[in-house]
Amino acid sequence: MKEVRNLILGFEIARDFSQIAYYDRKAQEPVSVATRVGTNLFTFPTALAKKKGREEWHFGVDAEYFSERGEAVSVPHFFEAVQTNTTVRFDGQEYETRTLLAIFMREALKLLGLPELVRATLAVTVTCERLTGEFAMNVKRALLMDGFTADKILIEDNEESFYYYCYSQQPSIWTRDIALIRFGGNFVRFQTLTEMRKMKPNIASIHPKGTITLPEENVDRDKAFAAFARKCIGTENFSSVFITGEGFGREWARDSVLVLCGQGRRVFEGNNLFVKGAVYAGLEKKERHAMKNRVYFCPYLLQKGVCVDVIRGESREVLPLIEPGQSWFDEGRAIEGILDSTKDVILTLVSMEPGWHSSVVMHLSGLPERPDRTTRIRIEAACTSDRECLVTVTDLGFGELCPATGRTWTKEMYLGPGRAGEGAGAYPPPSPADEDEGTCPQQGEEAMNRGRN
Amino acid sequence: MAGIKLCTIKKADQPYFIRPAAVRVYTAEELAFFLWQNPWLIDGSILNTSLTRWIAEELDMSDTALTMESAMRHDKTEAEILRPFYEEVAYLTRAEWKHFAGTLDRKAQESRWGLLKRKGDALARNKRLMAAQTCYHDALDSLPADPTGSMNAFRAEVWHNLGVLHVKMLDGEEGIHAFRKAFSFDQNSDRKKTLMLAMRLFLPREKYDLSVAELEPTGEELAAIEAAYDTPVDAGGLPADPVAEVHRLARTYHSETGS
Repeated sequence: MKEVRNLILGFEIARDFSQIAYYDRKAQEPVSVATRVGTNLFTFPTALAKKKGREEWHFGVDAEYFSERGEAVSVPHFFEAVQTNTTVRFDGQEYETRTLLAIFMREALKLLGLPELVRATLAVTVTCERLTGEFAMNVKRALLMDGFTADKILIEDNEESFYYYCYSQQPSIWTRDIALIRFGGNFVRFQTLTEMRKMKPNIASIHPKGTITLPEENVDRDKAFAAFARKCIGTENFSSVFITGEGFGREWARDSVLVLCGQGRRVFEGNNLFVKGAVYAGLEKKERHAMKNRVYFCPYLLQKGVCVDVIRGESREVLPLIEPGQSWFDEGRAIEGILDSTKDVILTLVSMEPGWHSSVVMHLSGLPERPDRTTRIRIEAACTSDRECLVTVTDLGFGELCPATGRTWTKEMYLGPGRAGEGAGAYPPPSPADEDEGTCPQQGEEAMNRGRN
Repeated sequence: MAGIKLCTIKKADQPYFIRPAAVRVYTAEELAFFLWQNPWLIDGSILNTSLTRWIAEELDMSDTALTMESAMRHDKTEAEILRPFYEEVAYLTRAEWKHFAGTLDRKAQESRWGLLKRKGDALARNKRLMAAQTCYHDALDSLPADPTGSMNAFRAEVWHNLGVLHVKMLDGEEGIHAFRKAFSFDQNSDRKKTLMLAMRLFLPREKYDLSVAELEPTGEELAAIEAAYDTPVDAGGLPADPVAEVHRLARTYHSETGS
């Protein structure tokens, strides 16, 4: 481990094995962290165990070792458990799954060997095969428990990590489409990463091309895989092919390698593709910002964002609280401002579609009467799903001059597809249940300017 | 410009204690507001290196603090010292800053007694009653010899304000004394009515009748006092809620003093 500050980390959590990588600034590439110093062992079992009757935890190989010896109790179905926000009972105690995940990640991150890891870290990106809302929130809360601040935490799925990995390479890798072949034993998935270059910004997305279950016997396996690859590649142009997972072997893949390498395609194989992609994601989002003209389109991408109208200096501006085009797990920001001759907070919904926006006014009714410009408020927006966010406004008062009431006003906002007043997919019709819920009894909102402008 | 002014300056972990007003401020905006509202309290006890150090360390405005310190070293005016801070914080509009800076410049031309009286008013507004009293007494003591009585109106105003402070502290005897002094320097009907009301509030009825007779009030003035004194009176002569009455009396205080 050569880095000691501004660390950019990647953490892949998979069903069987997990791994960690960091960005080596001298080599200018991600480096996998070995589980034992001086070895080439980079993955460790996704397992957690604790010593019987003691709060002493083990992860990875140690967890399996001590559990087999009967000295520790392993968390049953750890990976499945942390996918949900529930509790797990073992060794006579009840544990929240997010707490267990926090322990697992804390223990695993010790592999980096840094005493002040949280302080030294600029970003930690967690990647997993399938990202659900519950798992994302568990990861976020687990890392918060471990001491990381929200702005340092990034969460994505393997496909997004693949996107960041590919577009962080030299252009010859991504001038045309890129193939991703994922092995899971005999089961193989073929996916393509394509980029729509006619759009501004360019939109990159991953599409499934096909799946196959390969036979065990090597010759048949090679033939079946070669035919499958030929069919998936078809007439499309690929710059490169990436093979990952357990199940591919150079000893049997003779014909299929020839198919994959045809038409000058470059073929790569490895098991650290996603964790390195996670590192590149952190690097891109926190430092490099080199992919500004390209957007990765994924299911958990926010279609809309939320901005707030503010005055900075002597000019007005619209400040983003939640940006469209980002994954909802990562989005959410807070600002503080002073009310100047107003009790309204104007929120603007913006879309990835150019030219569309819609404004909503949050009226802070019930605010005490104070001299002008002596009410400081905090406006915080946080996504609760890929389609909804919650905006919370808190009265902070004005120090000792005007004590805070601590009163809050909240507003749920719909960020999903569709436009107001345009039928299916538009804003849900208002109902009594949709009214603002806050400690202020008379708060309300007023919609205006909805639709295309 | 109506809207939400974005706060971009860091909040202080440790507040700055404005000693004259006994107020702690945690943000640049709070400091800007306080100084703007209390120009007559600004002096060397506020504009000093402990303030600039706080601005530099707690608000992360080291460049601004350096500029302010430089202005202090070169004996610039208070407005010139504060200008970089207000420019950075952008709390006031141009017109407000211009007016505020004008007040600070006028302050520099003010007589010592005038300055002390204004400071007393500002302290009283910040509920620093004892400190305000000291300022008012200092203002009276610093008045030059006045054989022609040209300063009588000023004396009357200061004694009136002292009277209100005593009344606020429920010191009726001293309050009546101060109002009596105010009336002696400026014998108009309003001053007389204020004195009569203080007497009505704090003296037993019999004593009030005797004392007020010396002032030779008109029937209209007596009626006005009784109308103002609308709180039910106990047999002992004190109102049921003297504190509320005192606050009512004090409401007109600041407008009367012109502060």
